[in-house]
Amino acid sequence: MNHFIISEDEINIVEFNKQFKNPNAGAISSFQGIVRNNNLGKDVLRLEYQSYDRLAEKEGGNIINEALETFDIESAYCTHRTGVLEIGDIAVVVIVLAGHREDSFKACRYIIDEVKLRVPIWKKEIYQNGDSGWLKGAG
Amino acid sequence: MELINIKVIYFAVLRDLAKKKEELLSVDPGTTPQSLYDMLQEKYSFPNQNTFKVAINDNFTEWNEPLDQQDIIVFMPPVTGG
Repeated sequence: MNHFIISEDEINIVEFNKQFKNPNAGAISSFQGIVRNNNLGKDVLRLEYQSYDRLAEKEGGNIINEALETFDIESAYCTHRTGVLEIGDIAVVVIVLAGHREDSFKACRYIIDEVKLRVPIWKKEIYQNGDSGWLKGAG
Repeated sequence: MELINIKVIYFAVLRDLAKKKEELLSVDPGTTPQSLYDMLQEKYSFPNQNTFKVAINDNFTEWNEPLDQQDIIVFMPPVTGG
């Protein structure tokens, strides 16, 4: 299976986690990015994500491979949603399996940080007052 | 000189401004992502691309890379996933 996936489908965290088992793993770290109802003082109604899927999955795969080379972990996976998401929906999930907790935490942090910096995905906020706008990003 | 046939795919703010997901264009030989963006910026009032990245055929590339026949070009504003 691909270790980095872009998907329009809702992420069921229980089903997502069930996929990953490894008898060498004594630690599993995971991160979930959730759609929240506010940003920069504005009331957010929902989000829309667009992705350049082919390059996003390629760059996301690169990030997973970097984590595997850098940290003492068994495996790592990440899925990012696209389309319209409501408040409380899971936008992104990372899961890392490792022998011990220290590198599982570090790798999980590395993956989500790099995904946010490098993977071509864009987020539009739709506000309660009817306005909307694409976030500017770090540049 | 034979024109170069390319496809441009738009995302995020560029898709909203161009009001289309993609388009086929015929451009002069020697056209680069930079000169193509300059032309599209004029046409669609795109923002300044100082912080953007560009890809040709699903690979990140340089702004001065000459375009070839059937290239697919994507201009990428700063990403905001997560």
